[in-house]
Amino acid sequence: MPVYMNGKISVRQFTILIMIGSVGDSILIMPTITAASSKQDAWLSMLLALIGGIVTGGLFAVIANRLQRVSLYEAIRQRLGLWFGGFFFLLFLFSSFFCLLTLLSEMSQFTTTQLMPETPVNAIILFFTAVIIIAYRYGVEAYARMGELLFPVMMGLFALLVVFLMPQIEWPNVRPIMARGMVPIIQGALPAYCTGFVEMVVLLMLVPYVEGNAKLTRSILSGFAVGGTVLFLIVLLSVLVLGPSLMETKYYPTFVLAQKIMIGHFFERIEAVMAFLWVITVFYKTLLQFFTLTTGLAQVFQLKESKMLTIPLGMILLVSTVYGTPNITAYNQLLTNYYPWFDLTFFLVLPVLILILLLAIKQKKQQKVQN
Amino acid sequence: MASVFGVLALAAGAFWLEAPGLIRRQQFRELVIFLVLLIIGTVLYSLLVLQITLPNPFVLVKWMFGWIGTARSS
Repeated sequence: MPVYMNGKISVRQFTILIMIGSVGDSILIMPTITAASSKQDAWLSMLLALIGGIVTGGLFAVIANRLQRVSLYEAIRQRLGLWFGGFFFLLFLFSSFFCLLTLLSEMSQFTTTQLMPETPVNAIILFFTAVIIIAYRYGVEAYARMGELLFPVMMGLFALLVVFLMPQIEWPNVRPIMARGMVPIIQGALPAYCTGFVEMVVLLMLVPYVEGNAKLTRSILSGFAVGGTVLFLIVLLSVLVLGPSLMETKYYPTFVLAQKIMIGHFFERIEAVMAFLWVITVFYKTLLQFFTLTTGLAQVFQLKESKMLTIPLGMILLVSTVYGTPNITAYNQLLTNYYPWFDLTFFLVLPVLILILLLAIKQKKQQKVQN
Repeated sequence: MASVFGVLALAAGAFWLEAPGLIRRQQFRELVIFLVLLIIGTVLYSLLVLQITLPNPFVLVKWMFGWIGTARSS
């Protein structure tokens, strides 16, 4: 067995990684993107995305249980052969690569626009990538344990955000409800669904590392449910506190939400503390995607180790991020117009095809045995 | 030019970190893949610091799914 397949994580750690990963970068960008289409009904878009996400989680759970702790690449290769299976899997890694570019871009743009405007974007990407590489090299057990430690911090910060913003809620901001019909709501739900839930198909890469043989359905569904609920509450809070027009015009409405926290004129301007919440979630989602890309490449090339791929891949990712999303406007246009369809094709249709082929090939083998 | 030396230093550091262990363990497939990716990364990073324009990787995404955006706007 290759060295990189030796780690073991508990089911609880697996669930927490899914929870943190599904929040991911959506907590930063989803309020703006959903509000662009559905305005004050953005919370309905997020609710629709949550329902769709849980259904998708069920699909991923079916695939995960069918893998029986075998790696996704190995399961595909056993059934589809070396070349066809390798091609299929490379498509999956190809999509992971592009997802990584978007995550690195968001993190760098958020940091340079809101926290450190004087710092060059390349430097932010370089340092963030370096941390991702170091985390990967420590192994899945290390960052799963770290996730377990950080999860209460993340939920605590989120709870603080919700509680301290409650006095500023204005219920009229949600009205009129569904005034423009369902179409804008569905248009707003699509990117939320893709970014928050569909991109978490990378959890299938963690399945071989989960200890025991128990079914992972409950774990995956609860991870998606909790992560999705966090996102729903964030979008709802954005509508209620900021209103649809401010939500649409500000790039990072959750940062604006944190800026609005003011208790007695002494507990204020805590957005930098709240930024830690977003750093945790974006970091973990980026790490999971990087894990998928690096471990996946090692499996495709049948390497005994994967750590030596991290630095070269980091360099390629840095360059691709800089060239791929030169500014926030170009990135938002990509995210709104093209990227959800890319996500749907590679992160949803591809796993469905894989599941169908896995079932079909297994049934063929059973028929041969019966004959 | 100093930035290019920085990139080359980074590549040299990565090579120094990984290559001796791979050679010692006779993991030559791993060494080849590592070197190929390292060369690609070094060349791309050098072009970046020299501010040479490279194709945008998301052009591929726009090529695949741009027709959907066009259909929606029409």
